[in-house]
Amino acid sequence: MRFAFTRQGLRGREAALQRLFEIVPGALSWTILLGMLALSFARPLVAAVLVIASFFYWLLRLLYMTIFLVLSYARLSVESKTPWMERVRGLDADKTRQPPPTPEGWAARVSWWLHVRQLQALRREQVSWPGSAGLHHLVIIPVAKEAADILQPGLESLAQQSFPPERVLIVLAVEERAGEAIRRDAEALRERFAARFLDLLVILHLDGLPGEARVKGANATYAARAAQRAFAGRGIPPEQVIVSCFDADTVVSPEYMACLTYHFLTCPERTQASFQPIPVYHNNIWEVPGFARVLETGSSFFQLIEATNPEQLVTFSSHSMSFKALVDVGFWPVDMISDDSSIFWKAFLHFDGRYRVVPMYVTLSMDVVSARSWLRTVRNVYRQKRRWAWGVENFPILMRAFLRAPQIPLRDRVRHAAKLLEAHVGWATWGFLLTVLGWFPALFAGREFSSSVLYYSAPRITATIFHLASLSLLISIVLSQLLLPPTAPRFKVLRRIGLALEWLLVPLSATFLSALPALDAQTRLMLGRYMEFWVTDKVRARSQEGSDDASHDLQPRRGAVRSDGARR
Amino acid sequence: MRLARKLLFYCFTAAYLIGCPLTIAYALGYLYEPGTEHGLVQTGLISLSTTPPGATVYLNNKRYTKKTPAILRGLLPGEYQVRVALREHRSWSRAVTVEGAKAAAHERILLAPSVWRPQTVLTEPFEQLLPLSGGRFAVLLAGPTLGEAMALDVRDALPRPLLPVLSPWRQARLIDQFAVAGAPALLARVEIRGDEHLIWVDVRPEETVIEDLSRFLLHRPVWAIAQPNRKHRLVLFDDETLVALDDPAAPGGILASGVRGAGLDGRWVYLLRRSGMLERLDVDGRDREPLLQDEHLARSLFGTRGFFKILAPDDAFVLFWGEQGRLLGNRLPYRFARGGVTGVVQDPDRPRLLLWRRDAVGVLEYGDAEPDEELFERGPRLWWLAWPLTRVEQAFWAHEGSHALLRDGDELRLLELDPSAPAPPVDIVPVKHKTGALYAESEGAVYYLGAADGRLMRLAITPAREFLTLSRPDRATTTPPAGVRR
Repeated sequence: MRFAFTRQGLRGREAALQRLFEIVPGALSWTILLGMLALSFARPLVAAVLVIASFFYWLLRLLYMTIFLVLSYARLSVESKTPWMERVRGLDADKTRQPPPTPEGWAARVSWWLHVRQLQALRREQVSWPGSAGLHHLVIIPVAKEAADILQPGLESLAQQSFPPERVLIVLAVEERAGEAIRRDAEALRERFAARFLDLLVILHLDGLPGEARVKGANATYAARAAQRAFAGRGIPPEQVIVSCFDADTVVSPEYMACLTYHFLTCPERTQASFQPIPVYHNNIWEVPGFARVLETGSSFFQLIEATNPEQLVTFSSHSMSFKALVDVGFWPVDMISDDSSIFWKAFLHFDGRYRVVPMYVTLSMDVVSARSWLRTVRNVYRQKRRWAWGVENFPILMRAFLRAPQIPLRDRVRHAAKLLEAHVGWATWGFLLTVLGWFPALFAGREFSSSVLYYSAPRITATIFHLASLSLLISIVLSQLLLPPTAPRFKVLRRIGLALEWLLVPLSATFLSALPALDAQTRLMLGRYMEFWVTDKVRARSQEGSDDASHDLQPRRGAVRSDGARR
Repeated sequence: MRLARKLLFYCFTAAYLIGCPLTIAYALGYLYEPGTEHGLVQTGLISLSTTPPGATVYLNNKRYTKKTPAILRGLLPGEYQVRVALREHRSWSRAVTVEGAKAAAHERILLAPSVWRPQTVLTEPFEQLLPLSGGRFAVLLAGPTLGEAMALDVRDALPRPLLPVLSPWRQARLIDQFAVAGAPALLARVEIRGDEHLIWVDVRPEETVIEDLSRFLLHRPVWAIAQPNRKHRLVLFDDETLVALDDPAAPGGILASGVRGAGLDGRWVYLLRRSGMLERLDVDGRDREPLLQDEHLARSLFGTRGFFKILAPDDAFVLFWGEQGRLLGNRLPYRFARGGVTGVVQDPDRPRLLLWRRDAVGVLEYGDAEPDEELFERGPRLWWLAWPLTRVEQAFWAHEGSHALLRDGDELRLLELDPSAPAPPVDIVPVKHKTGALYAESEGAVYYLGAADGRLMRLAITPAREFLTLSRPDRATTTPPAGVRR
């Protein structure tokens, strides 16, 4: 369908609808929180019943998610040593009809079995796959203020791929406002790495182009257009290109490109798909405060759980997609902060619902938000979570689109809208309900409620629920220990014990550094106070001398339009 | 994975749809009792907490495995005989009515020891113990002069001399005295070398401060009140003058004349004028606010003669305690006692007052506003425990307000304040004839003079306050043994 995926320039009914749907998530969250507060005072008995019902729901949901977390982690472990490039070559030669190459170990056998099953499914559906020889990768790395020491490890990891690097085009998309030093860094990196790839372009994204806001999507789009021209110049069609948009600090495993290639080849409608790896935050995980470590591990877990539900998976953070799809949908939105999820919804609408995200059980690692002091880290984590929660900006646009998209099945529209709304409202409310509001009926019990059976039963039931929920916490602690990178040997035991204890901070961090920023974001959207774009600090131990504070506003600037900012 | 997810989703949905209503029903007290007579019934519970904890619980003479504190759940509506027993303590028993969905809470059961074991604090004999306001200090009189008196601070191991060796007031002979309301002080008439003095004796942790108020000696003090920080002190004399001892404008000056009643609450001074007008003044005398100007109502309530002590337990409730023990209030029904009330003390934790007269102890509850669903304002509720008492001279809130400790004649007695099931007071220990007692709730101990020899004694009634077992609904819980669900 033709739909302008933006909230800019709307008029009449569309503007009214947009505003209405902007209000809905925040209004719903506040209604739940204030309603529970009011009920605790006015009708504590009703409030206590609601608390039990909602805690019970939360428990089952938590256990349900934990099951999929374990399954997903098992799949990730199984695929951790998969030789994806061999698989790609196997696809090219169609060797799967021959006996398997007797993989060693149970994990390799399971992985091979999954691979064979995948191919059998493709054959059953009579889907063929192209050869990998003509495939190219485009990696766009938007740079807002990140210096060479942040970018270099990622480039090194890309240069060491099992997939031939000479078929990988790297684009460093540098903001004009990043400053001379950053630009010099980018140039230096180009000189150092260009020969190891198909090419490495440094594209300078001019500040204040018409219709653009100061958002990452504008920079990435600008770079993608330049890359499109570069590929065209080399006679490489977009359908032969897979584009990955990575955060500047993204470090990929050596098999990442091969894994991505494999999934691209084995995807039936590969030019209408995105490919989502599991993001982990290991680059500086041992250098950040405990609460940040636990929060980011929680984010990885969330993505692991989501990966088990591809029907409703949405792209998040660093991800990849068909370049043809990107070109067809008109690239990333240039006026939205949540470019990572927006591009999925934009494509979903463009292809009338026939667009999907393929989960990939391969990790890519990024930095945990950090700063020089503990307090600044808290502030930065809060801002980062608020920016993630600003993904709620997709909801009103999506709802407007769904209202006039009969070609997308009603069931899909309802399912996606409900999930998006529930995810954001739950994000903003569960933390408060579990740690604060759930206890209000008992705390403010009047004489009538305190002489009821419910007053005495409720704490017992909630205690039982929390005891059962601690099973999930225990599993999370174990999985976090398994997922994290090794520590220095002299810290090994202490660090691991400390990490386990850090999970006890979850109630606090989930409320004040997850639910609160989400509520903040929804309230801003509800009140029409659209968020400024804020660039998260990525500070590593060796780059402490650099600035750890930066802010960029979202206001589009008027300025001279320059024809091209690309440099070789 | 897709199929597994679907299957699990349906399983969890079914678990919620079945489990949630069952959990809520259980939380509300619903139980399924097989058989045609009962079926699905809504049960109640009994919550029991004792001091000391660890007592055995009997329900209809059947013993529970769990000790107190305990919650007896799943009880069918009806009446149950509950008994709580602990070795070397008197057992507690009660007929408890259980209603469906309701909790019958008995959470401050004080199990009195079978044998009380007082300790001797000082072996010297004393003639009198004068308790001071606040429950921390008392003055012990060993002879007629202040030099022989000692100050008792319950936070110290031993009393100390009331006055230092060089104090000129050591030779003062006590003529009469009464305790100041609101601060640990005495207002006393004394005589030194034939001269009579009126003095303010302020007992503080480290020292005693004496202030000579002899300039007011011409008149008899009716009442003395002070703020706990002693910043403002008032004395009402029988010539109807109210003196502010700390008036910054005119120290020791007359704050108001023609005053029949006075009270001090925070920064407000309440005044009942001779005319029957009621007003309140700022302690600094700047603001004046009339509270009652209806002369007819004022006369009908306060009459034309007699002094009143004014108490303001909270902003909305003002109490007038008259000379003949009359008790009036500003809320319906206005007249709470026609006479005979000899003492009033406020509960520090809840909106209640403990009252006593010669032969009874009462509780005045003033916290409830008018109920939502009733037409008439309910007003403060006064109930008396009409158990025969000899001659109540003193009463204290004890055990977080569940009990009253009484000095009834020459006996200390403990009375459970439960109007639904009045129980006779427990005799604790005899005290020296016509001497006072001091009960410190923070220590859970009463100080008194031994009946035989006048020694200063200390008797622990309850554990010190911080160790009390508080009522909490999430504590040990149990279900009734077979055969007691009725």
